[in-house]
This record gives sequence, C-alpha cells and structure tokens, in this order.
Amino acid sequence: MLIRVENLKVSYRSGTETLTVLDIPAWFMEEARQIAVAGPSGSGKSTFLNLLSGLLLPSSGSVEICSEKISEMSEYDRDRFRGRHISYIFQSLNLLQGYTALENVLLGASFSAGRAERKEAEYLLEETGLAARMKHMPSELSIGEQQRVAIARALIKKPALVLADEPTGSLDRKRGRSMIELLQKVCLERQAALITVTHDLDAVKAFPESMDFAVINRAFSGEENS
Amino acid sequence: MPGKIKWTYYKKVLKHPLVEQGIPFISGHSYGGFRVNAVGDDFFTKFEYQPGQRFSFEAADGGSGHLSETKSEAIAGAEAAKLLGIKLGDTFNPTCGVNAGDPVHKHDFIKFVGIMAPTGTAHDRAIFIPLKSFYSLEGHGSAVQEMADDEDSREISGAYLKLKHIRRGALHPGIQELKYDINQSQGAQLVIPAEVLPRLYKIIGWADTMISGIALMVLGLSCIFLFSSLMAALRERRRDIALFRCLGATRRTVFGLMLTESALTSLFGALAGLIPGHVLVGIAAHYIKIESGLHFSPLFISSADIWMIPAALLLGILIGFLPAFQAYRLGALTNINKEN
Amino acid sequence: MIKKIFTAFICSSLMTLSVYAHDHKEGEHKSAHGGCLNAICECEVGHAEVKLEGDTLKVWFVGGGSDTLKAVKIPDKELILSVVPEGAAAQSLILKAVPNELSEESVGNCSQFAAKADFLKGVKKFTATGTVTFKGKKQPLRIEYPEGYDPDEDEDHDHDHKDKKEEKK
Repeated sequence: MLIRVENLKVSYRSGTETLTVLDIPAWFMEEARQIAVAGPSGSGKSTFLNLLSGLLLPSSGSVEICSEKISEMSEYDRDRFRGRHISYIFQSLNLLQGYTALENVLLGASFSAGRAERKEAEYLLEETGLAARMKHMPSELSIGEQQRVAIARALIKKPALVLADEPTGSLDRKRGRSMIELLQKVCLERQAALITVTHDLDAVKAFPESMDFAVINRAFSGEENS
Repeated sequence: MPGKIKWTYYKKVLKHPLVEQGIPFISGHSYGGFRVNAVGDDFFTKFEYQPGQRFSFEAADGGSGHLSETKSEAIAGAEAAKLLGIKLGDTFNPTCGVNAGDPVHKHDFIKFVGIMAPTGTAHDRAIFIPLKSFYSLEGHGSAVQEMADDEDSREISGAYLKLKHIRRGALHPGIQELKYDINQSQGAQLVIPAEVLPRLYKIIGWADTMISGIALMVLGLSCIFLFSSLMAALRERRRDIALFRCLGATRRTVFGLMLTESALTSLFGALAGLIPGHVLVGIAAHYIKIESGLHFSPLFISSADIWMIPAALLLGILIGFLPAFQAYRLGALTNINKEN
Repeated sequence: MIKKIFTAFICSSLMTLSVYAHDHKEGEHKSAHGGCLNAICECEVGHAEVKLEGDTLKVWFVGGGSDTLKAVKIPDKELILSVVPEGAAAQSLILKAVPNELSEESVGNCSQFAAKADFLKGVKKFTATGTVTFKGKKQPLRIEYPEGYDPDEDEDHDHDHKDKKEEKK
C-alpha cells in the first residue's frame, strides 16, 4: 500500500465556530497507480494534495505514505521525506526564472538523498520532447514547454508519488491532453504513482481511475470554498 | 666649499660613547639629473640600507663591476645606470649643483667601475664616488685638494651614524641627550630617521585618515546596499523559496542558502576590491619608483589583506542573518501560488 | 538617499578632522633630558631644566615657549643657589658651568651647570632660589623640584612642567 488515509480532518477556527473543510474517513492507494481527482472548486482537492505532500498537517487523523506516518512527523522530517519520495507539479509558474530548463530539472533532485544526474535530466528532457530546449531559460519556453520541464523535474528523483495540481489548467484542450498522456507515460515507466487534481473532464477521462472529491469529502456541502 | 661640518667636529662625534660607527658623505654634485655623492669607504662594505642588507655588485643580484679602488672611479646606482645607459668603463664629468653644463669640472673625468644591484631605495638613483676622490677633483681648486691629504682641514656635508641600540633594537635612551648636544652646535644637526619618519607620516597621516574614513563610509554603504538588495531579492523570490520547500528543501536549507548568498556576495565584493587595489598599486609603483626610487610591490600581501577575507565573510553572514531568518519563516503554502 | 549619503560624508569628514586636530594639540613643553622645567620670569622667556641624580644636581638653561629643546648660553661661570630640601634647612650650593664639547660650549658661554653635594642624596623634593644672567639680564631663578616652577600656574596655562621620571616614582 502506497497511501493510507484514515479519519482525516482539516478544520479551522472562525471566531467561536470550528469550520471543517475536509473530512475523509478512509482512503487507500496502491503503488504505481494513476488516479484523477475531480470535483468542483472548493471541494478540498488542493487541500488533500497538500496533506499528502506533507506541506499541511491534518487537524486529526493520519496520512501514511510508503508505510511512514507523515502526519506524525516534524516539519523538518516531512520536508526531507517529500524531498525523497514525493514530487509536486503546479498549474503554472513551476520553474525558477534564473535557471535553464536543464538546471530546473536538476534542481528536482537537489533535495533528495541521491545525486542529481545530468544524463538522467537530459534523458528526461529528451523524453518530454525538449531535447533542443535544454539550455533555454523559462522565459524562452511556452507554458506547455514549461509544464513539460516541470514533469521532467518531478520524475528525476524517482519519486514514489507524483502530485499534480491542475497541470493542464493553463493549456488549451489539445495541449492539455498531450500533457496528461506524457505525464501518465513517464510515471508508468518509472513506476511512480500519480494523483492528478483536475476539473477538466477530458483529463479525467484519460485516467484509468478517478474519484469525485465532492463525494469523498464529507465536509463538502457544495456551498463553501476551501 | 664641500660642506658645513668640520672633520674635527665629526671626529668628536665619533668619540661619543653612543656612536658605534660613522660614514661621512659629501653631497652637492650631480650628473645627468642624478646626485653624485662622495662617500666614505665603509659605505659599500658596512652600510646597511635595510637591516642586514648591504650593497652588492654580484651579477646574480643584478649588479656588475667592483668597488672603486683608485680615485677618479665611480659607482652607479641601478636605476641611475639604467636610465642614463651607463656601462662599465664610461666616464663622466660631475656638475656642481644640479644644473647641467657647469664648467667647473670639465677636466675631472671619473670612470664608472661598478653598478650596484637594485636595492629598492633612493640609493638606486644616485652615483657614488670615494670621499678622497672628491677632494682631489681639480675643479674645486687647491684649497679643497689639500683636504685629500690633510684630514683635519676637511669638511663634509654629513655622516651616517650607527648608534648604540639596547635590547629589541630600540635606540639607547641617551641618544636624546646626544641629539640635544649636537643640535645646540652651529654647524651640525642630528636627525634620527626613526623619529622623523613617524612625524612625516603624522603630517601626511590626515590623508590616510581621510581615506580610511571614506573606506569605512563605503563599507557602511556597501553593508546597507547588500542588506537592502538581499531583502529585495527575498521579496522577489518568495515563490522560488516556496518552490524549494515543495521540492523538499527544509527551512534550515533555505536559511543556509540565503546566508551563503550573503557571505559569498560579501566575499566576492572584498576580492573585487582587493584585486583592483593591488593592480592600482602595481601601476602607481612604476611612477613612484621613477619619481623617488622607492619600490612598492603589488604582490605584497599585508595582514589587513589577509584579515579582510574572513572579515568580509563574517560581515556577510551578519548582514544576511535577518533576510535569511525571514526566508526561514516563509510559509511554503502561502507563497507557492503568489506571483512575483 | 543622496541626502543621507551627503550627511554621512560630512559626518565622517568632521570626525576625521577632529581626530587630526586632537593629534596636534599645541602648547606642550618638552624637556630634553627628562628633567623638570622651571620658568625664568615667565614661560615665554626661558626655562631652567633641572634634574637630580643621586648627589648631583644638573641644570640646563633652555628657551621659552616651544623652544625648550634649544639651549640658551649663560655667561656666568657658576651659579649660587640656596637649596631648601623638604623638611630641612636651606643650604648653599655652587653649580659650575659644564661646557659640552659637541654643543661647542665653553665656560662663560655654557648652558649646562652641575654640582655635587652630600645633602642632595635621597632628596625627593626641594625648592631653590638664586640669580642667573639670562639673555643679557640678571634674572631671579626659582626652582621647584620635581613639579617645576610656573608663575602663570593660576592662569589659563595647562601644560606640564613636572619631571616625568619623578612622577613615575
């Protein structure tokens, strides 16, 4: 089992009231699986990803990844754990502006236990169709190309889990589709599990599995924003 | 004619218990713009132009020829020889004073028999003849020529005195009384370089203090600029820092990165100041040498240069501490979705 | 910003100048032999530098104002002083001219005088009076050892006449 989530709750204090934005009794995911998390805005999809990445701690319940309870770890240990096992891809602005595409990819392994291999980074960029753009700065790349660099960067440290938060959000339909295909392909090749948060139905259809977060999150009533 | 100090007075000074040795000299002549000094025989064998350093004629040191053995022989300092193109065996007529074309010594031919190895001192820019040769010069007439054989009638311009030292190379305290006694006489004055030089430096010291003040001010401004640029960089790179955190960087790593950036900026700044500083000394040294004969080496590394490196690093760390702490406190989630 | 830099520059320049000015404090008298300086009439006229070494009293006559390192030749062949050691009776002391060869002095044209006397042994403090022909005039001479005599003491006159060696003791 790669991910095991139990009694996961995220609540905020609002004056005298306690506002629960996320409530998942139980959820599991096997290694190397690929799943799309769909749901309307405010259904808590991004909060869920933040909990899985260890960037956010639950108010109660536990998150276990690779048999380690990250919800009980210190912030320092969670950061290090994320550096070794989890990669994150955002909707946009994924790259550091002062670095070339290749350097951005190498940066992906800078905080993991292993060393950043230049050859591996070059191979990943070739695989993502950016062989000719390695030395280009982010400002010289299109948004689609920047997203592909982010995919290469996510995979360089051979993570167990790749979290993608609306990776096609800034792309048109056609490019979004090819982006998802590429992401699925490289994750499959490297046996990395993939969780993609999206509200793009085309993207959801491309995944073998999907879940509607509005149903899974018991705290979501369809009226609030997280 | 030759000088103001009577030889008999000089001999009295030599007898003083605090005076170990004396080397008389006569100045007032020149050749090709360079001073021609008549010196006592001990000048080349006993005079130390720097502690433990004596004049050399060895080819290995850059000298040639030998000491003047007979009268009408001269020795040239390295710089004078170079600039006047003097070769061993060349002859010259000295000039009274510094105006070329003075006919007094037109029949006095003096031959160069030695060129001293460079010393990096003013001696490189002078020509030396033996004291006895000087009194024998035809141009000064028979009254002066008689001084060559009759020591007691001689006059000299001055003399280098080697005075008694006490432990650790300090001058004997009695030197002050010797100075007082000599300075009350009408024809002589004792000057102690160790006393005069600090006074000279004190006079020109205001420039040094001013430059130090400006340097301190520039340093202060640099610190302010470094601090403000780090703070500005921090504001601009909040998202980058958040991205680092998402990639697995710990707060400590972010803190260390910021501190390293500050320290390295400061270090490179110090190096970027030191290197042109030494290059400037190198350029100025050439002109100072031409003007004064003094040698400054751009490769000389002072203790201040050495201390500047760790000091710059330390200063960089101190300046970077607050921006680094701010970076440490930055929340990854709150900044990851912010545009710059 | 330019205003701040300008202010900083002015401040640093003033600091620099104040340091320079501090280093060049004027009006200090120096004694050539480490003795105490006793004004003759007033400081600007001249001084008698006095030093007591065991049983020997040495007196050098030097210039006034800032000329305390310049000897003043005295035509007198000897000086007669009435010396009053602290807590003891007055005694007469005759100081002979001691011409210095290097200063090209001779008796009758000499700035240094000295005398030896048993009663001087162990004396830490004394006053002495006499007369001296100083710069062509017969002048009263007053010595206060080791502080030095200064008739202008009560006025705005802050320099030190004291024998520094004695002070250390």
